[in-house]
Amino acid sequence: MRQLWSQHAPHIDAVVRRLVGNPDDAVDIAQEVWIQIFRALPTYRGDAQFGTWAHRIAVNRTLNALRRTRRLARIETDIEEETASVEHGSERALLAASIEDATARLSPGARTVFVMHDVEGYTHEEIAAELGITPGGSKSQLFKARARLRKLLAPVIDGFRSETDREHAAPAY
Amino acid sequence: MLHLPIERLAELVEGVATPAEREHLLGCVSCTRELEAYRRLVVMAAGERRRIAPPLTSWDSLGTRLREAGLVAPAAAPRRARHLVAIDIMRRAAAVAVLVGGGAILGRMSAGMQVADAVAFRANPAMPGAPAPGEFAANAGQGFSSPQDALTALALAQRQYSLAANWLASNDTSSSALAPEQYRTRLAALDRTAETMQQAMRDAPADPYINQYYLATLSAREQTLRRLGTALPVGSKLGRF
Repeated sequence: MRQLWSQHAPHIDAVVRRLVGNPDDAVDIAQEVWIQIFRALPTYRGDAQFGTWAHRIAVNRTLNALRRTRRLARIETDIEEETASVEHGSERALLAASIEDATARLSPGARTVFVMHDVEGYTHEEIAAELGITPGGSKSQLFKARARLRKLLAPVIDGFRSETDREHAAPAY
Repeated sequence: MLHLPIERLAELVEGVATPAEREHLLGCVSCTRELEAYRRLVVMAAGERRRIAPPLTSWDSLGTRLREAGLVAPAAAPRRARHLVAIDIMRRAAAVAVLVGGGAILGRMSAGMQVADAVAFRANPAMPGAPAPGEFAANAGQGFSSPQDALTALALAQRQYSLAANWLASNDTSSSALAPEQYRTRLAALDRTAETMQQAMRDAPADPYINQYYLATLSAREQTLRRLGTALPVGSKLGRF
């Protein structure tokens, strides 16, 4: 068990961290995930790589934990509020240095959709089934999340351009 | 035509533009640049999947939860022979000595001293056979007269390497800076390496290779932290990685 944990924890815990956002909460959920992985170990039949199998469990268990804490209940509200704050708030205060920092600032729902689609490679149909929303809703949230991340990560994406260039590169529309 | 809405540009990363949108994109530098930025964002996101990080929890902590869940048997306290306990204490003392030495190096460096003064790896000119500053102690394939000679050469090479790497971290401006993301990835990897080496030192505190890798890892970590500090956007401070 320890060997499995040592080998796969860097990947599995990274998935948990991305989906949860808050490192403190992620610690508890990561332990739940590993308990679930070891509990389900007798059902692992070797038809997929262990890492892939454990990865699925990690995603599902983390989503369950997030659902349990009702973080996903306010998906639409949160993402609308956060998108609005990008348009009208102080961009300088919102800039992020890495994609990890930026996704941590998304609402739980927006982060979940973005991470599942753009990072973990889930389809909108799979996301919709997992989250109990429509594929169209998943798409809508993904595009809003990308728009917010693009703003948050302007210095990284634009390659550390000067302040003047940055304003040109991220037009207000 | 007005600029394309930002969410539409975000969608066009994998979507199909309408004829009107295509025409607009052909003539609008701003929208084209934004679309390219969204593509870069998606590429960055896909790269995150390969990212690994230090585990969020320790095995000791997880083991307690696993025992509570009945997934592993309660740990039995092994009884160890007295002479083994004594050896273990000596090993731990040696490991602590190495750790304190490494910590002192980092502490002195973080206190603002010059790297060349703070790093204890500095070659001692008074040492017989020590190379002059800037001279690499290569043996040129001539072999060594004894294991001690080989170890001495290894130590000198290590010192020279550390000195040069630290000097470059502080003074070299010719090489292009990496993105902060890459430095963070490197830091995470170095942390894992340092942890592995620490564990290895508990079992073999006198092993010269393990000690060298551990100290080299600490040195590389310090250099990377310095690099990251200069790669962050203006006004940003390194809080965590």
